[in-house]
Amino acid sequence: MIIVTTQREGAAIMSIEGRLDGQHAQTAESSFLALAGEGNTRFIFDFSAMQYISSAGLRVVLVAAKKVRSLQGRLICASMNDQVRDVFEMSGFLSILETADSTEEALERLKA
Amino acid sequence: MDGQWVAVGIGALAGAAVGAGAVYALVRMRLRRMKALLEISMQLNSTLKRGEQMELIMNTAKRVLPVEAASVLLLDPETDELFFELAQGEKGAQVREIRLKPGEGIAGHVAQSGHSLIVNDTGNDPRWSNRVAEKTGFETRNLLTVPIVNRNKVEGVLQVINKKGGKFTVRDRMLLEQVSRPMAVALENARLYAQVEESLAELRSTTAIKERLESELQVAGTIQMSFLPRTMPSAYEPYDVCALLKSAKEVGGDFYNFFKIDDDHLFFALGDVSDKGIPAALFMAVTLTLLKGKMGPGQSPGELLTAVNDELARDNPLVFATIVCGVYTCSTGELVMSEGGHCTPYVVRANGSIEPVKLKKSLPLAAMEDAVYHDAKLSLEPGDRLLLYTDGITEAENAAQEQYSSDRLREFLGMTSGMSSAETIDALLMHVFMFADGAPQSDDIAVLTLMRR
Repeated sequence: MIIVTTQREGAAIMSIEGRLDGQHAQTAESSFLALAGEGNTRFIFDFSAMQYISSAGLRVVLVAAKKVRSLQGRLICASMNDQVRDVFEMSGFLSILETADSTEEALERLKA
Repeated sequence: MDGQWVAVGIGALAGAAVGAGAVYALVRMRLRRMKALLEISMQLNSTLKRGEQMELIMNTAKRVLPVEAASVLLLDPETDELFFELAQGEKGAQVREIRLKPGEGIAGHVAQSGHSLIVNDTGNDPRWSNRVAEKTGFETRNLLTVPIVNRNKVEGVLQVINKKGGKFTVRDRMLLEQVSRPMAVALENARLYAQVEESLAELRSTTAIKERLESELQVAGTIQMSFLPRTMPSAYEPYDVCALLKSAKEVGGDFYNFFKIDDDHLFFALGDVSDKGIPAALFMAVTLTLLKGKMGPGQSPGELLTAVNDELARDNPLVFATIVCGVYTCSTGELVMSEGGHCTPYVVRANGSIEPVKLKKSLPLAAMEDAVYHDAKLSLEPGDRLLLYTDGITEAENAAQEQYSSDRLREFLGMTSGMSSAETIDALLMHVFMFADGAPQSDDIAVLTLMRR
């Protein structure tokens, strides 16, 4: 799994490539918390290159969602593939997360 | 060494008859010494125990040369001091206390230079140190000291003291040097052996700890299973319920439960903690207890889950548990169900059609405080069956990393008409394991099925 973080238009974008499973969950969580520590409050998770997410991966997203709530910021999950979307839907997480079809759309929504 | 003796041998043969006898005697004596050396070498390597070796070395030295005493000093690699590993004689204990500083005395000198020394007049030698003699009261007239060398490193020194009837000669020195060679190898072997013994002892202790942990895990697994209802209600009930739990490890994070709330109502639940092994098992135990404790007559599953979630989420644990649960009214076949983040249950109608149970999605337990859980109603007619399962079933993988999937589950359910609940579960597990075809079970599995008779 590879994580790339970028800053665009006031938002921190975390792109996750590969499988977000038990092995890699810790790394992803640390990356996110580092971004939050730097003072960011608007986040986009770019899942366009993420092939698979397990319940351990879901936990990372949950931790992020809770953190964002406490910061009174925003988090948008962008570009989920079908398998990932199914997992989010089955786990009930879709109800607490904002989603977008692409990073561009997410950026637009964050500006609003 | 061989070259010398061969030359002497040839010289002896070529010599005159008068000289031949004396030379012959000399050669014979040398041959005897060679044999003795070989024997010594074999003896030294006959034991790996340091203590025994030391005795052997010293006794050997005394056999080889006519001396009054022998001693071995070993070099401490950290401090470069020489110490008496073993000292024979009455004053052995006092001698063992002595540590020679680097370069101190003849022994120290030999250890540092790596060259042997003959000292035939100790009194007049400036390098001579009185310390040992003072401690032991042993008067040293002369001594021969050779280094014990292994792979170019000085390991210690071998000393023989007070040659009987004379002074130490160059030949004596050469002989003792020969004797010291196998000693160095034997010493190294003893050291390696001691290391192996230490490793073995550590391994034994680690293995004992591991075995104890394994047996504790097995006990934990048994305790965990004891939380789950083991006896299935009898055939007198108007329903047939059966459940199975198969953990991936000794203890797991999947769970189920069912019990009668009152005469006409059966409560059932099935869930999956977001982890495996001991942490999941602990959370599972707490969740089960809360579900049991807070459920009562007149309470809907949604209300129950909301209350349980409040308790669990308050402490912000690092894990969460998906859940699906419900209340079945035995007399009417009505079901009220609620869920949190769990995979879709199925109803298999008596006519064989398979319907996914559409429940309003909510979050897993403990994911977020103030999450709300919803109720949904459905009905079972006689012959209809409800099936709950965890993703250990649908995500079971075979060697090609294909998943069993809900498609295969539906395919299986289509074949279950006429089976009892117990038979259904057995057949499902069989179907999944045949699909997995030997690939190891990677996630916990739980299944619960309820049929209206």
